[in-house]
Amino acid sequence: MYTRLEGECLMIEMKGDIDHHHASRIREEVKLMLSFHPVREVVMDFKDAGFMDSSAIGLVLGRYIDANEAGAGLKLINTGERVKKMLKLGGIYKLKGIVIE
Amino acid sequence: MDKLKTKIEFDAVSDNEAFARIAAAAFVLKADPLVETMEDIKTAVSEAVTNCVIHGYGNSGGRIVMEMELEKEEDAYIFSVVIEDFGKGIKDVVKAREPMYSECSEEERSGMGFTFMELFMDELTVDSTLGKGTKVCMRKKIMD
Ligand SMILES: Nc1ncnc2c1ncn2[C@@H]1O[C@H](COP(=O)(O)OP(=O)(O)OP(=O)(O)O)[C@@H](O)[C@H]1O
Ligand SMILES: [Mg+2]
Repeated sequence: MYTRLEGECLMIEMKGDIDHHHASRIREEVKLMLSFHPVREVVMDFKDAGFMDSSAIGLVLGRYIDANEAGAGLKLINTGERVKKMLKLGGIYKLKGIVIE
Repeated sequence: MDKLKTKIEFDAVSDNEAFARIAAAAFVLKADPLVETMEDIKTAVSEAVTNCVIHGYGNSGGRIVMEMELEKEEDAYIFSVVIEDFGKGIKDVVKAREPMYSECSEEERSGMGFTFMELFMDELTVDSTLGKGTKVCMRKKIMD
């Protein structure tokens, strides 16, 4: 499991390898959770992120759209140096309303 | 050792994306790279292999050939890798290499694959023929 509910917040644990192979599983899980539970905030936690490639950027962009559609905010937390670098290159910092910690 | 070479061939399935980048990481160990250099190489290899799986073969499988070389120079090693598929090919390589350009709509792609390869490696060349396949060559210097 990559996701869990904390009150009105959907937590997504970005753990392990975030590549093409795993990104689709995370995406499906989030879509399913959002279809059942109304939330105010979607949080992607990079604390235990291992390897990352451009699939992770696609995953963030997709969740940004999901959160917008659900009327929720998107927050990225525990982003380390490498994660920040990739997010920056991928244009994630330019997204309106996104919070990156 | 002046030059170390290896060639592997594997199925174009998403499970092998991790295999390919771990194989590359193991291959360059001899050059004792910094953690960051290792991560750069793993990311670049993952991008190229993932592209073969998704775009080259449309997620329906095929054959990927990966050739690696490690050459000793005076104060560094030169790592080079060639990743080749025999799938659909790219119509306009210049356009495909632009940041945030993606032709994939059914999956969530950011169009950053080639950009990451370019930024994380020292050199990137892409050879592609429509209907024949795509060959990506990358090089990176690993300082002693
Ligand atoms: N091996 C390949 N065979 C056929 N087309 C390719 C191949 N590699 C890349 N392409 C084409 O080039 C485009 C850009 O590739 P790039 O890796 O930069 O972005 P992406 O794969 O679409 O998205 P991302 O890598 O960010 O998930 C792809 O959308 C695809 O159309
Ligand atoms: Mg790609």
